[in-house]
Amino acid sequence: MINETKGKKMNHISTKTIAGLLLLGLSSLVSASPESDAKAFKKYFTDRFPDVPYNDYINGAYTIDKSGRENWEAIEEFPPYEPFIDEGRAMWEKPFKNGKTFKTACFPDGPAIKHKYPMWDKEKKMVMTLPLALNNCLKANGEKPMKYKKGPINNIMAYLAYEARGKKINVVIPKDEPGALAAYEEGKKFYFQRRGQLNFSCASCHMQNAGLKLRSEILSPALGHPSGFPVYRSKWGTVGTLHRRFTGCNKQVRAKAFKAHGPEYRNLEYFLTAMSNGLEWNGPSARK
Amino acid sequence: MIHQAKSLAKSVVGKKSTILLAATLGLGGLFFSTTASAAGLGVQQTSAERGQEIAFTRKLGNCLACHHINGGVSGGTIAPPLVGMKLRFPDRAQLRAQIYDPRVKNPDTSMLPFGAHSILTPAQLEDLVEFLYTL
Amino acid sequence: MKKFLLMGCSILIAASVGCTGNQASEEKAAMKTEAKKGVEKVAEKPKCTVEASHIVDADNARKRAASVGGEWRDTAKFIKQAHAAVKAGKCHKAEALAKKALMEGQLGYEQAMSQKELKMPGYFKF
Repeated sequence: MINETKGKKMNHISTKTIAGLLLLGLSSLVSASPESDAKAFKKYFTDRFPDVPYNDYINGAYTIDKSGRENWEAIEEFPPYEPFIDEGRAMWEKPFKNGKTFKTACFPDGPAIKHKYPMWDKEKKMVMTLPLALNNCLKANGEKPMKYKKGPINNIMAYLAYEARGKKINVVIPKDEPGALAAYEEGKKFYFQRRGQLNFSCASCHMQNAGLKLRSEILSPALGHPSGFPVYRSKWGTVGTLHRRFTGCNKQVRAKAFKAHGPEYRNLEYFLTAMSNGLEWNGPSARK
Repeated sequence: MIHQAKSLAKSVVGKKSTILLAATLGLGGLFFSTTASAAGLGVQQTSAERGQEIAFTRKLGNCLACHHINGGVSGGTIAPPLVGMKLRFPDRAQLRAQIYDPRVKNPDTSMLPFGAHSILTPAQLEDLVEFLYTL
Repeated sequence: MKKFLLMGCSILIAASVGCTGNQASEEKAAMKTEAKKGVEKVAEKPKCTVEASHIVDADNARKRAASVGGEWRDTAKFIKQAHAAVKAGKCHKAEALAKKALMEGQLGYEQAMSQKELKMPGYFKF
C-alpha cells in the first residue's frame, strides 16, 4: 500500500526503481526486524514458563530445574571457575614482547568489554566475537594466537566475563549495514535448520522441548543462553567457551561441527545473543 | 536366589537327580539369559529382547532419551510414554513407518528418522517393533 | 640291534649329505627365494579397484554435502576406515563403508538443500 502511493507520487522515477521499492517493502514484511524477533523469542519462553521471572533466564537449565538449582547454588558459593579468572587477569595484565598489553594495544576500554561483543565490524564487514578480537590483537602484536576451544582462551574469557558481569546484553544490528542484517539472518536460519544424522535443530531441544527431560537432564531454554559463558562444566572438568559448546551440540546430533569463530558460529552467536537483549551478562558460571 | 531355588527344587524332587538337573539348568538358563541380554553378551536372544536392548542403548535407538518405558531407567519426558503400543498401532506396518520416518506424519516432530537416516538397520527396526508390541 | 640301526642311519645320512653337499646349498638358495615368493604371495592383497573408486564417489558426495553445510559427523571417518580396509585387502569391508559414507553424503546434502530457505517450525513463529 505504502509503496503503491509512493509510486504514484514519484512519476518521474523509473519503473525499475518502483519495482525495487516494492520488493524492499515486501521483503521487510516477510522477515521481521531483529527487535520484533527478540520480542517474539522472549514471549515464547515467558508464555511457556509463566512462573519464571524474566531476569532468571541467565541461569541456563537452572532457570527451570528447581531440584537441581539448590545444588547449583551451593556450587556457585565456591565457584570452580575462580582460578580461571585469576589466571585470566594475569594474562590481561602481562605485557607482550613489544611491551604493550591487551589494554594498551587493542582494548582501551578494558577489561569490562565482553558486553560489546558480538558486534558488527564495519571495516571487516563481518561479525566480530571477543575471542576472535583477542586473537587478532595477539597476532597484530607478534604474539601467538590462542586455540579457540581449550586452554588459555578460557582463562582470559573467564576474567573478561567476570569483569562485565551485570552489564546488559545489547547486540546491535546496525540498520545502515546490510551485511549485518544478512549475518543476523544467517544465524537465525542456522538456529532453525535441522542437521546431522539425528536431524535436530538448535530449536528442537532449546525451544520446542525446553524444560522437558532428556533422560534425566532438563533441556535448558534458549533465552539467556549466552549470558553465562564461558562455563565451568563438570562434564568437561574445566571452563569452556560458547563455541566449544556449539561444537559439542552439533556433534551430539551427529553433524560435522563447524570451525570455532568461523562465519557459521559467529553468525549464530550474533543471532542467539541478540535474542537475549535486555538480560544481564552473568559469566563465568558453573554447569553440569 | 538360585541357591534358594535349588534347595527348593531339591526338597520337592528329592533324589530324582535327573529332574533336579533339568530344573536347575532351566533356571540357570533363564537367569543367565536375562542378565546376558542386559550386558549384551552373545547369548541367543529373542527378537523382542534384542529390540529392548536397541530401545535402551544410547548409541542405538536410545528411545529412553525421550520416552518413558516400563523396565527402563530414567526415561525422558519429551515424548509420550511407550505403553499400549498394540492398541495405539494395531497395524504393525504403521508403527514401523512411524519409527522409520516420523516426519511423514509431522514435519515438526523431534523424533529421529531412524530408518530414513539409517540410524537403525531394517533388522533392528523389526526387533524394535517386536519389543514395542510387548509394551 | 638298536646300535646297528643307528649306525646305519648315520652312515646313510652322512653319505647323502656328503654327496649332495653342493646341490644342497643350491637347493637351499632356491627354497629361500621360493619362500620369499610365498611370503610375497601371502602379503599380496587384492587391489579392491572397484571399491577404491566407490570410496572416491563417497568422498565426492561428502564434499558436496560439506559445500552446503550439510556434512554429517562420521562420514569422513567411514571414508578413512574404508581407505584403511583397501590397504588391508579387505575389499568387502571397504565396500560396505564406502556405501555407508556415500549414503550419508547424499542424505546430508538433501537435508541441507531442503532447508536452503529459513523454514520456521509450527511451534514458533517470529
